[in-house]
Amino acid sequence: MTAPAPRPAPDRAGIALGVGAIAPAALCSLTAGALLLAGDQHALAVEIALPGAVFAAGLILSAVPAAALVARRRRRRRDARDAAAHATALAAAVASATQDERENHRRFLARLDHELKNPLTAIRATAVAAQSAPETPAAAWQTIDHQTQKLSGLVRDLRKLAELETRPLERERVDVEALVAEAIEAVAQQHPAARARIGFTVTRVPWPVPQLDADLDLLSLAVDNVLGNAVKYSSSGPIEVRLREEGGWVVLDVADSGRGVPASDLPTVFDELARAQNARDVGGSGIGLTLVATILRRHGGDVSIRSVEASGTVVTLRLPAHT
Amino acid sequence: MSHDERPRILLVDDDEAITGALAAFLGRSGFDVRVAADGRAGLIEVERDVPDLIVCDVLMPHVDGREFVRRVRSRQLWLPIVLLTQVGESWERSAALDEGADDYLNKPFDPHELISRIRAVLRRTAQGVGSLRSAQRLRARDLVLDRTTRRAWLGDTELTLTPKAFTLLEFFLLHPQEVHSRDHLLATLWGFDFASSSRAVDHRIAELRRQLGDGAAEQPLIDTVQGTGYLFTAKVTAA
Repeated sequence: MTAPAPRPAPDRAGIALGVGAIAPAALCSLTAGALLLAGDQHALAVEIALPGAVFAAGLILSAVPAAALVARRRRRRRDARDAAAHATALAAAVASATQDERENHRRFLARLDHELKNPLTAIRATAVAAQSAPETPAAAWQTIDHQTQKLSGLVRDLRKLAELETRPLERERVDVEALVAEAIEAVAQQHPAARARIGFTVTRVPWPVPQLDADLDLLSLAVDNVLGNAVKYSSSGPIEVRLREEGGWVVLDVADSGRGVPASDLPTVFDELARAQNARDVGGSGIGLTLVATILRRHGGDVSIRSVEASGTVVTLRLPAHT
Repeated sequence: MSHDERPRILLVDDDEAITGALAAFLGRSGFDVRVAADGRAGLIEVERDVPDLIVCDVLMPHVDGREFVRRVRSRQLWLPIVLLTQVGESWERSAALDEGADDYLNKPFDPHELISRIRAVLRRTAQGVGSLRSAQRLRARDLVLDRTTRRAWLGDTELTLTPKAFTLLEFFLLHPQEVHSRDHLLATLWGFDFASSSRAVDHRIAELRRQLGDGAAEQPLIDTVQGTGYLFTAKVTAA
């Protein structure tokens, strides 16, 4: 975000100079006109010695470049002031971005801490209890195994994210309509009850949705995630999947009439490990939408979300049609 | 099975918490296990007595896992090696395979998965397929694959393959006549279980079949094993 530029302070010296430059000419013109109208016949004869005339001519000839020189120096000083102001603004923007970055990092560490705490507490509690028991019950080992699997899952998810940031894209011609149809088929196979709820509309007139140069696996992953969320967070009601071309972008909406995201959680919904208050009862890692955002960004596109709690959610993926 | 027939495994890792638990688990699973604390100690153990298989960590002091594999191979020892990698990046994995490891497993792993990988690698070695690992060119019927230049030909025609399809084809040729689950193939393509579905595997299989002309073939090179995964049907030799 950029703040509006401050109004420059009025240039008092400039105004004084302007008045000083115009006033004598105007005054003398008026007086001369008045004298002419009054029929004044007086003539002014000036006698000047040649050395004096040469000296005066020299002064007059020098005055013009000297004035220009003064004007230039003033302009330079003003430019330097502007540049300094610009640099200050830039430094402020960088500092604010760095601060945002630090704030993001701090929030991420807090969430990571939260995710690690529970399994570690469970493991320690189980291990300590088992040490004082006459023999370790089988359930204790199961708890430890289960909790370490949870931790492994977390490590794996974070690795996925890190890999996604750096892995080279393997681009090929991708038919987005076919990709979305496959994703719908896959999610319907996983959740047969949801099949009848999913509707897919594609805008084909006046022109079809263009093919994209994209990483097929990554785009599938993004669409799978968004569709999976729609099914996960809406137990009933229709899910509308809408694909169209719009102003040089391929746009995909996935809309559901599910539980929605609370307004207070919407700003952080794309952050890694972030999970909305009302999503705690549904299994999930909190990295799905981060993956989606990263994939879209790496393709030059973006993702946005609109949601009203208890009403539903629409997630919109946009990809540039000509890459 | 008599005691002598227990496969002998050398476990090389610098973390005692891991070697202690894993050695006990491998021992109970029917293997004869020795432990070395790093690559240097591992090389000494190999000199002393060559095991049937080595399980080796990558990040270790003195001689790390990669260097260890290189030095074992430079002694013309072709026994199977399973690497335990730390980072999930697929280029690290393929680099590990290029340097002569037979399989890899990402930490943290399920110990049962390690057992099944060890058994699969030992089975391949017993069938003599393990030697394919050192070959630069592989041939199956009229398909030739060059692992160094990463090019492949069917008869005189060069195939146009995406990098992932090539990786998959190379994996099939190194593990022929063996059923691979979609999940295992997915991990092979990506270095770990990357996608949320194994459709990514089906896409690459479809690409390979198109390029190999499998659709019209009487004996397709790649077979679908219903409900399980895929199988490369032809016999593979070093070319």
